[in-house]
Amino acid sequence: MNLTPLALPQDARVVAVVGCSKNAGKTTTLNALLAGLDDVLNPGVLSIGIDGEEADFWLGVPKPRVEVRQGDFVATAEAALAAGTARIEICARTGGRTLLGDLVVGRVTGNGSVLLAGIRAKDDVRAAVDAMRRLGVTRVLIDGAYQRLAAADPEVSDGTILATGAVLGTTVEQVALRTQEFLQRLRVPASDIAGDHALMDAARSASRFAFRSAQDGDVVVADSPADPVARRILESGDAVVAFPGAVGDDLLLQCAALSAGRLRLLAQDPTRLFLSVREAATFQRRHALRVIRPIRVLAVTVNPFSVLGWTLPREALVEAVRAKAGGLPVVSFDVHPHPT
Amino acid sequence: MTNDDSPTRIPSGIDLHAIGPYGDTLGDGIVQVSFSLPIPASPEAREAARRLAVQMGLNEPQIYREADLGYGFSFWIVYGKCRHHVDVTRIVVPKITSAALSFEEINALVLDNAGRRLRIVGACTGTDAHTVGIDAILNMKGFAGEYGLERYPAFEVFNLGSQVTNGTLLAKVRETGADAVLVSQVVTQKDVHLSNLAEWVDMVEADGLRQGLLLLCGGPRITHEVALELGFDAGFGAGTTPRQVAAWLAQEWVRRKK
Repeated sequence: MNLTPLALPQDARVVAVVGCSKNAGKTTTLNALLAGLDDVLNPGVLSIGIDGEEADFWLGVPKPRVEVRQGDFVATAEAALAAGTARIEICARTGGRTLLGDLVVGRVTGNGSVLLAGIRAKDDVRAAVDAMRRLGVTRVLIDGAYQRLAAADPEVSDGTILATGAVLGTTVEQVALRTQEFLQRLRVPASDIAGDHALMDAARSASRFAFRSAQDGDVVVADSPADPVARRILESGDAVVAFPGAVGDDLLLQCAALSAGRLRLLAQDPTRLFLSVREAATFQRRHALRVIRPIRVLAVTVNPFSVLGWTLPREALVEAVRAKAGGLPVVSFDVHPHPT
Repeated sequence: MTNDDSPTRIPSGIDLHAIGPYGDTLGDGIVQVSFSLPIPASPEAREAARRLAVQMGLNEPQIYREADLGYGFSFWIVYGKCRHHVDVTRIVVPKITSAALSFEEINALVLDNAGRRLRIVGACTGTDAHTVGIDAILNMKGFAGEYGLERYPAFEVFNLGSQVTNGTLLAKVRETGADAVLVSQVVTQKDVHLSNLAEWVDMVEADGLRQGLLLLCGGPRITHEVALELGFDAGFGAGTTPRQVAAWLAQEWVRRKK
């Protein structure tokens, strides 16, 4: 059964595959999606890490190769083209330079495997996606690296698939729970309150914090919540805080400690949140956490095989993850546990 | 690191498409492995060791040494012929290829091109308390007969020490306007270093600082490949000296500015 249409709706044009951890099944998901894209012309594929290598750098165990077909497009470093078996014709250079040569976009002229390497930052991803679009690519799949979420940024991709699997735990329950924690981060709700977007705009244009008092609507921009003008607002009662950068536990604790009322902390999108499960839960018991641009999570893919040597029952794992996935499609692609 | 100029020679007659180990004659596949088993030495343990060697990919396994270690353990040295080969021509390994520069050359390169000192922030992050690596690279006294980066007039160094959270490190990067960040990770239990390093790269991206910042990581189990896969610009493993890091930093910073 072709599960690609279930995980990949037609209107999602640039889709990131991110993982709950390393070896969760991102590349397997990518291959399955590519294989199921019969009806779409010219899919493009790239990776924000390194994908398609024969063996895992860390564990040394075999990894699934990235298999591409004639007509597909790939973005990778020029020297990496020699490491795959697919024939590829270089069509464009993105302007990026890496230790493996220029970043290029190539069209596959002969089926085979490809090594995707050289793209490490969001700006590289944007440049590669733009180059692919200029070549007529209608759908782009971005493979993530480790548990990095940068490719899920709504300014980079318009949909995200989460890969999870047995590598997260030795029981179905452990895997489902950790997947749920990851989904909670990806699905932090968007603010629907008027004025929050304008407050974030003020913060972004200054690359600083923006604070708004709930009492009188006063807005101030400051370097830190500890700044006297910010403290005045936080200590006066309910307030909204917008910060366009990375939001970690330290910031959450600082805001909560200074606040005399209820806070609404706004992040640009979920990829800016770096919160421990405990601190996020503690904060949200009294305050609220919202984003300006939510991530559109398309599906969860489940890999019952752990590269560390154990296998969990596929159906039970899918059901357990589905129970925690809040209505998202949950699929498990049928793959060999130890690809060679 | 490959920033030395020693020649790499491959003997004639070698088939790079099928490289395997050898002992006495080319292509014989001979290897030696040694391991312990959690059972006392016995004929059954000897056969278990031999079968394990077969499963490791060795033909004709021969036990050359066995010893009972006491307390129910045994030790084995096994010779065998490896069945496997590697096609070296299909291997692509990203390497750090910066030129080896002297202390004076590094300082001149930075100061002539930047017109100022480069600001370097370093830390041993997460729960990791092992500062020996980051100190060897950054501290003035240095390591292996070479000065650390603090000694270079070209660098202004902020060494935050150990057990630094990624959030604290990011705050220091913002505060100092850093040009480069060195993250050291020694502890690797349960791959905690990988999740920590991945989070760090994502935090830098999330804060909009990635493009202007050189990201380096190092540690005894860090390789350049792993660093690149995680999103860093370079990774330095065991035995790296301060001058190798300094030379790469100087050359890469200048390359990007051009």
